[in-house]
Amino acid sequence: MLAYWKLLMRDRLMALRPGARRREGQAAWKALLGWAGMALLFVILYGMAIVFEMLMYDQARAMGEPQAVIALAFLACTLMTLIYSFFYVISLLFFGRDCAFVGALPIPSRGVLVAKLATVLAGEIGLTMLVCLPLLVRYGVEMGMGAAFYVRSLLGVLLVPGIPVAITTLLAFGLIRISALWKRREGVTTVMTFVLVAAIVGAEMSINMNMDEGELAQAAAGLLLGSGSLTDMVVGAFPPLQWLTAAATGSGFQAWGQAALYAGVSIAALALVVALCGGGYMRLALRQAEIIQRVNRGARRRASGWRARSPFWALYRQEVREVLTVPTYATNCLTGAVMFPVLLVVAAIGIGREAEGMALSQVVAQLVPGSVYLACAAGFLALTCTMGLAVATAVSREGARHDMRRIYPVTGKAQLGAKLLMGMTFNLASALVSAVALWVLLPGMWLETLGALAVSQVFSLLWCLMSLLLDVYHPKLKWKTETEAVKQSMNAMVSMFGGMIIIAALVGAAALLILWGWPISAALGADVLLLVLLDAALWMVLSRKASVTYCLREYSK
Amino acid sequence: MIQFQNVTKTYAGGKVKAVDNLDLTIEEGKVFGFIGPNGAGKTTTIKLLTGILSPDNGRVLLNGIDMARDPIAAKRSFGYVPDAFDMYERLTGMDYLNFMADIYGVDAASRKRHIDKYLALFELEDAAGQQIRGYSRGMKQKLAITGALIHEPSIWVLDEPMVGLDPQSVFMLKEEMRRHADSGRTVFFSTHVLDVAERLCDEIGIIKRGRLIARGTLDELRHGGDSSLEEVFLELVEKKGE
Repeated sequence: MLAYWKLLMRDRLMALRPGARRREGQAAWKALLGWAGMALLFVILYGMAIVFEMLMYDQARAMGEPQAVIALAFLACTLMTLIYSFFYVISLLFFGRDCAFVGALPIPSRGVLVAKLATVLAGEIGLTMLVCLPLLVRYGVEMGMGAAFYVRSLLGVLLVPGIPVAITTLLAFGLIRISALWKRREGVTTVMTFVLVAAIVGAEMSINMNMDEGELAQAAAGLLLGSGSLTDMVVGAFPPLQWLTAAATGSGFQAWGQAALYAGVSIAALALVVALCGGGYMRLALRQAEIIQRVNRGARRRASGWRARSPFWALYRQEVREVLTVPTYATNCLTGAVMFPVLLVVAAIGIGREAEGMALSQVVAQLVPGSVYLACAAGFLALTCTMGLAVATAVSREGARHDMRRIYPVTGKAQLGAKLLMGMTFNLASALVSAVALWVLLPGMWLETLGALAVSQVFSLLWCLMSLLLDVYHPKLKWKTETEAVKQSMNAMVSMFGGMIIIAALVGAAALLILWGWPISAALGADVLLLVLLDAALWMVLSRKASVTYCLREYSK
Repeated sequence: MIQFQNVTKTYAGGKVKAVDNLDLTIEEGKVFGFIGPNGAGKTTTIKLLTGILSPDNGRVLLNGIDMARDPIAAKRSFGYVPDAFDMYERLTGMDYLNFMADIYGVDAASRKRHIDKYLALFELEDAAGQQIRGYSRGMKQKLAITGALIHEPSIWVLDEPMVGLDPQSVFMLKEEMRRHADSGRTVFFSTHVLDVAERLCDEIGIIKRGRLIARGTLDELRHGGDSSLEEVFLELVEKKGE
């Protein structure tokens, strides 16, 4: 078990080395530069987080409760672990490439589970330390705490991820047991990711909207009058955090008692999970790996005689299927379709609550003219199109298969056309879901919403053409994992931000025209005309020069 | 010794029999080749043998140890080379070999001796310190073979071991398999390369749709004739199990 844990940890640590992400044929200095850039970004983000923490600490200290920020840090780490470790736990436990290989090794099932959970915990403990230690050190120094404080704090920090990891492990086991019935593990992963993204976005929006100024003022007044404690408010929802905060910031036997209680519960939670799930873990993980075989065997009988009308439609179908069936692609390329409608619905509920009885459409109709709403909705729907990365990575995702594409007896124009149509389809789907949400929320403005949808698709064509051209001229074909192809794609980033800049430029142009005395609808019309002209120009480039470039590109070069 | 006792493995709720009532014993000192068409159940059989899959019915015994009753002891008795080695790519070859030695509790002296021997045999000495992700398919295969042999297993299980290897490495691997069996141990491997099976195997098993349709020495399979294994195989696969 220890040897296996060492292997997993080493594999993980090696990923942090400067040369770990170096692509085949890439110069060492380029890889080092990329690593240095990532390291700098991390330092900047971490520095910002620390500054934010310290500012909060100053505020809390001014209110006489600096320990509230420590409680808040513990709470934040617990929640972060709960949400983000889920994906890591489920992929490490059940979707790892080494499942079958480890199954043939003389390691007990429980030992494999313990080694994998220890790997997850090591990462989470590292993050918790980064977040909590600066605060704890400052608190300890300012309050003149003794060595016992640091020992208890360190113990607490080491155990913070224990309970959330135990919970996510149980959730992962539950999910895999259900997925065994579904026989579609990719589908489960994709759907669960969407559910979680929607839940996180919805919860964040909901919290932001519910935490109005009045409530905050009430809480502050309560604190000043001594009728409530900020710390209690933070940790009240989760008793173990109350014990942990008391253990870290308290003193004497009581603090040690709280520390022992917290440590006991955290260790017991993990031990319980290992005891409950450990024995059958490998059997379940291997059964999960078998599902694909079962699906394949079933598919042999189900094989239908579906035929495309032309090579173009065959390619188009293939492009769409690939995005839908590979979880990494689906979750990254279809995020807009999930996130934006959730944002809309949560925002609408918040606005509706404030409107107190008045229909939302009435409120909007009274406050916003139809043409302004159309322009805003078009901008919003256009923004949803820039979130889908399907087309921005369409050539890169081919990877080593690109050379196979080159031997197809199909023109480059048709191949790129299929990719373009695939991107347009997903963008339309994303915009359509958001538009339906708008229709439901603002039934009285359906015509404007329809107009906005149409305008957004003119923009979508431009964005897809632009993104595809970028990927044709600068594809990243040499990748090993799908994540590399879609998530770590510079083209995807440039396309996303480029799309936002274009939207901003169009808004700016329209605003300028309105300032010069043009009616809003005319300014919007000018924007649409400009988009159509750009669409035509880029299509000419794609169908001629770019098609040739695509066909001539070699994977090996 | 390897024993399959009436082993059955089904998929799709019992509708598809991947391995159908397999009853097979392979003695020590034999190289046993397992051949069959694509999807016949070769890999499933190997997964049952290595404890990766559990049979629905029957027992798998390795040197008399029941895989279902004492999987750890059973797994200690064999070394396994999977059909595709595609893991731990960020580690170096040496990291992987040390891991395998740790797992099987190989002492420092034996570890060094075996690693040196096989790295030299497969010409991997220079690559051993490099990350596995930079290896070719053949190099990965050689690394997997070295890892499987590091604890001198009494049973050596290989799933399509020749795929991706250059002719020189194929020759060395065949020599090593022969040497392994000649030292009184057992080699069980699946292959599509009938020439290799014909020249190397002491016994051959032919599987089709999960059923063992023939087994024996090459002479026994020929029934005293002078046809090649290819002809015997095609005849058996086309006639039986229809």
